[in-house]
Amino acid sequence: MKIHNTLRFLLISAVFCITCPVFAQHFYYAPNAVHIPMMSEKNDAALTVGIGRGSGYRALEVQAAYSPLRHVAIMFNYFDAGSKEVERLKETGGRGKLTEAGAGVYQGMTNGCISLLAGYGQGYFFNNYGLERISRFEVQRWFVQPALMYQDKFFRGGLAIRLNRLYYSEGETAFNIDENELNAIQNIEERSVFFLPELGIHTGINFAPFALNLSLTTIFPKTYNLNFARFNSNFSLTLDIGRMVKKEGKGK
Amino acid sequence: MKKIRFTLPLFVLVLLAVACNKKSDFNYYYYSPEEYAVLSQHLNLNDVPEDYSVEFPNHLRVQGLFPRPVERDKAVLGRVLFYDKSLSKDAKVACASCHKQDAGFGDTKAVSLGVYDRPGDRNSIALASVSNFSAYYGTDLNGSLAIRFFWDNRAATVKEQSEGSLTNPKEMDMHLSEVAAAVQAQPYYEPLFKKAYGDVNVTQERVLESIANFINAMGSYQSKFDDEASKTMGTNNYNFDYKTTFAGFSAAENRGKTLYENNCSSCHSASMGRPMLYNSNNGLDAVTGSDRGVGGVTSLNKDEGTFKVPTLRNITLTAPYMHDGRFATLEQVVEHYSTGVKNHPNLDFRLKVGNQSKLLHLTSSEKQDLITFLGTVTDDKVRTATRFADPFK
Repeated sequence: MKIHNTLRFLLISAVFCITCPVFAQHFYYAPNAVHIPMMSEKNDAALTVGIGRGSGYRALEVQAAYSPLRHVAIMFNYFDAGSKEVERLKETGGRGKLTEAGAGVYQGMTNGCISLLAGYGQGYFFNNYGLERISRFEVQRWFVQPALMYQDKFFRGGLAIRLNRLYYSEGETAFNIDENELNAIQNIEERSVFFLPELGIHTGINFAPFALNLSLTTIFPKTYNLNFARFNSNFSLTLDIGRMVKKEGKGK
Repeated sequence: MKKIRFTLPLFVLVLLAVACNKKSDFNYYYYSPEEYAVLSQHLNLNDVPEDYSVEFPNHLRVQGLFPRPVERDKAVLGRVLFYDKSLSKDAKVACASCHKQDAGFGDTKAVSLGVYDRPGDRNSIALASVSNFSAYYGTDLNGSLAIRFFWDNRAATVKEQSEGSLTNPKEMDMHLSEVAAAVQAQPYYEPLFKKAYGDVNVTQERVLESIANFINAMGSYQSKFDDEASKTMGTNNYNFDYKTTFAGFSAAENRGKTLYENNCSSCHSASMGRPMLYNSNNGLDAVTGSDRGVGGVTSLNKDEGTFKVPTLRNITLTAPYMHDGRFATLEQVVEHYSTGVKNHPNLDFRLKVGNQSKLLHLTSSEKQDLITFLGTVTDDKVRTATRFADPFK
């Protein structure tokens, strides 16, 4: 019953993430879903593909994690938010991309894993305001992320805090845009480097080797005068590659 | 555990290593490179526009006064139109020819010269505090009660005033259709209209609206008087008495302020905000001459020989004085009120004692104090602000 309720909840979330319309807004940063790897031994690996959703955007998110050595993990995250039509200047709104990699350590437990990862990523945020007015900002993000993941046969749940250092390395913008947007951009330029703690909560159901997940990520401090998209809700499917490979190996 | 102890300091070192980034420096663009190339051939404009917003000092704001909102992109366009001599019949006169920035956007001549050096009828009124009136003119209130423009109050709005000057045969002598055509013919207006209106369509209405936005942006409120009034008032704005001693004023300035508040403020306003009345006769002449003033517009007996009551902001910049520029100096103005007020049939009652004109009979030091005080209402920044300056190369 519990599984059915959880599954129902996840499926409703999936429908929401995928189908509800997104009202295009401008944004100059959006958090990608916090990636909480579930590792227990060497050669554990997982691939996660999901749809993220925040204020003014829908995103494709791909996350991968691998343990090359016992207690050591590496991860890769890709975040592609907003419509391609925005960059083609056919729609107004915002768009962002971030690619990052990280490494760190983990300690497997009976039903879970604690980890500490750090990494670096680069990306950009682009906005089309119409009438040939655009802005584009290149960003660099460093992060440190302590995390805790619980997993049993059917359920998984996790909590992470991602401590980001966000830097806008380059940027250009049309000046004759809405005053609210211009003020946000000028505020970003003035503050320049942001220490942004983000909280990520993760829940999911295991259908080994797959898992269905729902993640909620939020930026801690108020960022209303920066026009940062503050929340990300992400529905995803994880393939536990390590477990698959090990099963096949046992089978042989 | 060993690995964690090893990697944690490594993380910290990595973070410290990357902690130092130079400050972000974004590039703001307003014009495309092609647009800016066209503009730069004729104009000295910044690649991003200046701020044209007007902010009233606190002592005016707490009285409920507010400036008319200015649309920046239209003010940028309006600035170029204001200085463009091609908008006149002989292509030698612009709005700025009679409203010079150095003179608080008034003129140093008693009567300005228009196209073909035709002399105008009256002294150019200084525009640098038009936003002073803008909360009250046009359709903000009942139009018949709102502050108006020109010495005879014949224009209800800045747009009407601009139209009046553009079409006056003694000033720029154009039909508005000719103005639009002249604007259309200049290549530098295309990017400016595009920014202001989203397209390159030049209309008479847009020309007037843009000039009005620029003029409304000429806020001149950073004078010593404004600073001291705001500080002294603080939050105690209920029935604030402007005769209160201002701590930052000299003794002479405070004495002059008291003289002003006792003798001049009933017409020109205690706060140097909107003048207290729309038109008046101040006894320059005993009878109405050829210039009937507001009477020439309304044909009402009570308006014969009356003229607009101007603001005294930037008065030290805007010599000569009065509607016909007859007084070259403030000393002559003060002397008029001290000993020279004539008993005109429509003389304002505030300048009368019984049936006779009221003469202040100021002493020499009182006259000097009054002039010293009037110096505190000058905002020098308006004379040098580049956003109001001539943009033409």
